[in-house]
Amino acid sequence: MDHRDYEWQLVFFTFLTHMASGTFCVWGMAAILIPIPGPISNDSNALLFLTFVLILLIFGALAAGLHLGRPLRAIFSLTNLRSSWLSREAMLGSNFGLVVLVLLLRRAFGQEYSYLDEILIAVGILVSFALVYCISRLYMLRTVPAWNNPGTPGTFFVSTSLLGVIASTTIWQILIYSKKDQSLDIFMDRLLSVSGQLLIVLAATQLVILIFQILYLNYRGGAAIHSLRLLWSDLRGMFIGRVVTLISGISLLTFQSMLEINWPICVAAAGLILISEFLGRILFYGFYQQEGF
Amino acid sequence: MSKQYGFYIDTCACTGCKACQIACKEKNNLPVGVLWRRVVEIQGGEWLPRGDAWLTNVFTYFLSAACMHCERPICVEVCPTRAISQGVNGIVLIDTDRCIGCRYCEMSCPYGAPQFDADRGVMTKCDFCIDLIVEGKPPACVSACQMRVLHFGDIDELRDEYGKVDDIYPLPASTFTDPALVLKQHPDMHRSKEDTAGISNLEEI
Repeated sequence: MDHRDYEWQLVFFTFLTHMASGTFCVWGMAAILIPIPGPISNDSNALLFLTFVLILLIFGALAAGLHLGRPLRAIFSLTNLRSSWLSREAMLGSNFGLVVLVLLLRRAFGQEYSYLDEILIAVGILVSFALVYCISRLYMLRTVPAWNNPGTPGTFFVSTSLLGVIASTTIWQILIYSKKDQSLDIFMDRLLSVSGQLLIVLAATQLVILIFQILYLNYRGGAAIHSLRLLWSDLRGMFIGRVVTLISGISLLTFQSMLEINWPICVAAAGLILISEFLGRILFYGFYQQEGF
Repeated sequence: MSKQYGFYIDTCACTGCKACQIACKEKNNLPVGVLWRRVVEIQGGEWLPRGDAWLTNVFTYFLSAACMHCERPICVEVCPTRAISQGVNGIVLIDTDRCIGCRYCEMSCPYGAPQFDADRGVMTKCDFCIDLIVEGKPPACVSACQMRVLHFGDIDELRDEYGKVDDIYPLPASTFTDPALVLKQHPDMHRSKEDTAGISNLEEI
């Protein structure tokens, strides 16, 4: 049967959920571990970050809802936690959204930043990790070799981290610019430098996982070979685009790390990696092929 | 221990007439695009030169496939709403009132059994004509088979009678879901690994 309908709703769902989880984790870890300068302290940036994460989650949930034949009955999806990873994903996604909403409401109503927030942030980070793991596990069906391999959780976690670092760095830059405080210039340079190095490592890891998956599918045989053929026939252009944008992003960032901060190069590199990750999601749904027919 | 119902298919005698497919569609009033039972056509072989002459070694066989009512059904395992369950006699059923149309069962089933009814927004699949079974009658596909290729019954009895072949090409390895299926192999099945062999009616099924 033909599966080349790309599953656009699921592409957007995973992309947005990964970005939301990654952004929350990066912001959350920074909020707990790293002292942030006064003008963009945890209190002032939390509202922007949490709103951004919540919007991503809402749009992600809408995209997932559009995938359903009967979206109004979506609540039933919580009823098979015992054996269905999709059910677990729905549960964890709801819990993650709830944690973000509570944190956001506390900030919005001017509650003082306290240990309770740090506990909630830690819980949120754990739940978002579990959510990304669940999303990857639900695709690891024993009847779909293109998905049922260690590369799937690997690529999902790396994708989450990449999108999280890009979104967080962008939000911090916006915050810093909006404050117009020259004392923050050093912080901004350091932030860009650390983010750039992280992105190089993560994007290179993504490339390694991609190569691993192709080798694995080639070794596995059966429906896996059919998936590879699809990748190199119907989806060739998209696959080449995915690899080229990823390598270009890494190259630009590496080149940038040898120079003074250059904004156009930073933005171009991040943009290329974003495009690559989006293409990666499309390919993920485009090249699956079950065993059988 | 309760019975596990399954199908027996004699692929040697199947002529690919698709009476089973039509009977199923008619009995269950299935919409366009939804086929609970499908007849897969497998073809292969080629024309070969022998001196000044040309010889052919082409082959064709047919496989009537529907839900295999597996003993380890992956659709039941993955369904987030418990809409799919394994009922009496091992028959796998969908409760369309609980189904949300997430199509996860469709992604996971290696037999393409659960199929999406776009008008109703739910998944549908072969229910073994459970209403007829209750009345002591055979499923519609079995009744319609003019070559008497299709049989049904307790899978243990079928295996005792016909052996245990259940994963010939193009079916997946039976280890994935333990299908309640017994097949009589067509003599050309061993040639299904040849480069020229393949499913010739992919668009239809």
